[in-house]
Amino acid sequence: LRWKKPTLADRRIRIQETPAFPETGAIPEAPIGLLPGTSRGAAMTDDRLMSEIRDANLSYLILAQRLIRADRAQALYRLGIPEEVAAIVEALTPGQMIKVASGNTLMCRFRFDEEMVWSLLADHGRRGSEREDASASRLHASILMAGKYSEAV
Amino acid sequence: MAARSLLEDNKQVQRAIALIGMGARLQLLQSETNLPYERLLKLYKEVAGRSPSKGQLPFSTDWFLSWQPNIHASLFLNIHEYLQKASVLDEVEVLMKAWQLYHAEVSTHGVEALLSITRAWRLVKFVDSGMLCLTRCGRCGGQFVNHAYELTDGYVCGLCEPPARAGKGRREGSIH
Repeated sequence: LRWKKPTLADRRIRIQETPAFPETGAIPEAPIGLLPGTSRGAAMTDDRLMSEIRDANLSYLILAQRLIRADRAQALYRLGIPEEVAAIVEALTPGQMIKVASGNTLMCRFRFDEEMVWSLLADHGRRGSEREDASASRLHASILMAGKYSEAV
Repeated sequence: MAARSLLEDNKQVQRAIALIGMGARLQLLQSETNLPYERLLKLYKEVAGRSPSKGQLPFSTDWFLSWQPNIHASLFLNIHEYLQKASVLDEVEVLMKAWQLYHAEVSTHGVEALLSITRAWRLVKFVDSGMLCLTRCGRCGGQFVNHAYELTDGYVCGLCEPPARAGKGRREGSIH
């Protein structure tokens, strides 16, 4: 007997079997305000946060597509994405973009997980200089980030 | 002689115009496009509005090692490396795109672009010929332009450990 690739229908069954909220056992479509034990205010902020995620997703996708269409190579650098992903994003229609963006998870994430980059970007006049525009540490961060991209691909 | 393709010819001219606009020297154009010298000269005068500067190209690898130029060169080369890996452009285009990105990056920080397109081109050539390379700084982990075959144990970059007088100049557009 050969292993069969699970079809979409199989997967849907599996998803329905496992409750999204193991503690409450509620189905994911239920509005959070109706769940037992959550106050109305908390549900409102949750809803708002989720819609902000969708907004951010959509603006991110639109910006990414504009960057890619304006200049493919420079967009690869600025977005930090591989060529294949750029091709997919470029080909998305507005309708598809809305569909892709309408989840409750963020499409983009932090590209730099190094404390060094963050501290260089965040504190300006670190080396005892009183001037706000210490370009050395900004450029230092730029060099580190440019090096990071090359490892990501 | 094979018949020249008009499309290819047009592409080369466009590329030459873009390069002249970035301030490239004539030698760069001669090496990176296959247009005849006379046409390039005419093109240069038309686009730049003056005769191309004469004289030797900057040939020293040491220039890239002093404090300020090293920061510029390292930034450019990191971007260049990235584009080379990420995109499928040919060499000149990678050079042009990387330089534009580098230029935009330093301008946003209010720093004058010390590395001209011609210097950037030489830098790439030096790296290709194995005279310069990128060395990882032991402290920050960034990659910096360095002589090839240098002892790199415990290499620390000029930004983690700036030389005594570095960045003290008050000149506009310098790194501080």
